[in-house]
Amino acid sequence: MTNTGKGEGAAPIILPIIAITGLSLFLLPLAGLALRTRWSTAFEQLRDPAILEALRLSFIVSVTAVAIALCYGFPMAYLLARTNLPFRRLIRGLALLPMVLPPIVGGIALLSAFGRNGILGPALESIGIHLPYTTAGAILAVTFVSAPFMVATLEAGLRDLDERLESAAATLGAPRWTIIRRVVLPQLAPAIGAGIALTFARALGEFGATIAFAGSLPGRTQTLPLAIYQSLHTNLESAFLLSVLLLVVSLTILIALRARIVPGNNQRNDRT
Amino acid sequence: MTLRADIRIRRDGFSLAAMFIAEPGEPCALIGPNGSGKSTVAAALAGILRLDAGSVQLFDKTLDNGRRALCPQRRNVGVVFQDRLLFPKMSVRDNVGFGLRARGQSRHDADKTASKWLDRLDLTAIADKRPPQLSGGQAQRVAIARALAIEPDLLILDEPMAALDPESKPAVRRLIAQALDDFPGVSLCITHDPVEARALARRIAVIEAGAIVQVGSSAQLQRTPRSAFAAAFVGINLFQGVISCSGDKPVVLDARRCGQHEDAAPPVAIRIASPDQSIAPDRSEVFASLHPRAIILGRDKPQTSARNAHRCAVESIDPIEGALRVSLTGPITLTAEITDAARADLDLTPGSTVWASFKATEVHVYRR
Repeated sequence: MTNTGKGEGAAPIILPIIAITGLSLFLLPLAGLALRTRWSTAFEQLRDPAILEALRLSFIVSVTAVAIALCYGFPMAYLLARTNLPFRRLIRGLALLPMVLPPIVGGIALLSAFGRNGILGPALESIGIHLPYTTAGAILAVTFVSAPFMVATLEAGLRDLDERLESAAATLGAPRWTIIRRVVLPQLAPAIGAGIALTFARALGEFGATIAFAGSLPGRTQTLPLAIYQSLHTNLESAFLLSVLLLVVSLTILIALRARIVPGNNQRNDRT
Repeated sequence: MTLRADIRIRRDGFSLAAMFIAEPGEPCALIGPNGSGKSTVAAALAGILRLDAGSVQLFDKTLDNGRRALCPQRRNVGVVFQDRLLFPKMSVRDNVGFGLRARGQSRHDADKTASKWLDRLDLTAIADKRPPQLSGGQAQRVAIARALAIEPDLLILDEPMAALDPESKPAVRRLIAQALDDFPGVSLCITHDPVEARALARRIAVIEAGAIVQVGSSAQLQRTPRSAFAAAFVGINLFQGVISCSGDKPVVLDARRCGQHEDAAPPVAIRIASPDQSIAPDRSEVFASLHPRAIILGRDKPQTSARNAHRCAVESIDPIEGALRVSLTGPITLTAEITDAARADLDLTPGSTVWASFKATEVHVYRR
């Protein structure tokens, strides 16, 4: 029987009632945010150097994190999707672990590895690399938390591709690298786009790992979410405005992604 | 530039042991039922699957010897895949030039060679389109041009026309036949279509349950099929049995249609003319083939010179090109070929009872 979504296939009346009630719980705070924001002074507030600084830093940190995630994510996704790596399930679990780890735990873990008294900290310091409480540290924390989204998205994208196309390319004499460059990557473009968007969104909102590992130093490690947290105590107006700003960015990404992450709306490759 | 293949692969319960030789300029077809190992043979030759034992030798190059296998890139084996597997994000021209570029040719040189192949396969007009925009016949020709452009030593066509609609088949078949005629290397065409096999190949290899059971020309296959599948493929009735003598007349006793299970029907005696000298007259295990056109159907018991006559029931009637195929069951299972007019005169429908008769001389007997 085909489910037309109408007639016998329609949901019992109780389901939409619960669903809509639940949804309003999510929408009400968002509406409140928009209502409480004082739009008349928004423009001046946005020109506040402290806010501009946080914006700039957030952008730099997130873009760098996305770039690192892409460089690490594709090889990892390729290994997971295309090779018979030993302990593949374990490796995938480890690579995706930060997705389910509380970010603050990630930050503490980073401290234990790269902190002043961490495993690698003294060694890094002896060659002049300081990570805690630096922009590089903030980037590391944000990458730690957001990169798994890239790995997961790219692996799913690779699994969606017809692997036999790569065999076809091999019979035509193409070396592995040529196959990746000319056959795999062009087809993977939509997944790469989705991975970038998801990773960027996650990076932009990162709070816990950053504050634990890199602190909240304006101009160095204080990204937008940290600035919002701080202004909660000092300037509630700008906290609202910055929150709206982040909301708009997230919403934009979600709309751009809609076609890709909503299940069933995924346009699969035509295998003719 | 001979291909010598002895392909041995074991995979989850399936065991392939296919041995055959193919010569250049003598296009070969590989036919067999589903699951008989055709695609595995193709994958082993292309280097997508590795041998467990045996060897594949192409001219002076060992492609695989069971221990060391050449990777697909270094085999120079062109493959036309069943569902084409064109690169969706590249133009038709880039698809055809892909192999050349992969071998380090400049874009200019690759485009020049690609243009030549596009022209040969009548694709110049669509050179800038992407594969998703192509019709089935066009996509198939692009796949062939792409495989031929690398000038392979061995060309494998895997069901080259299975995905095409009936209207575009003849034109594509002619183009492939032309391309194979001009192709200097060894070619192997996997197919389940008798018309395709006859049009594209000079030799036909029959593979069943992982082993090559017969190799021969289409005419040889028609005259002496050696398995139920081969007989069905060329549309011939095939029996197996033992020669015996009744008086001084040789008779094939215990004749059973090939492929039919022992319990399905008791064996039946088929009268034959004297078999040729190579077959010892008594107790020889033989095949007996009978062309469907040699069978005469009638409503009444025939009073003719035909030595064989059986009362059968019509099981089904299927149209084939220019005639009808009538499947008969009874003491003997037969396929007869009659015209539409004959069917009308006899008023045959499934379930009708008919007498099927054939002359002893129409039965071709050969050693098993």
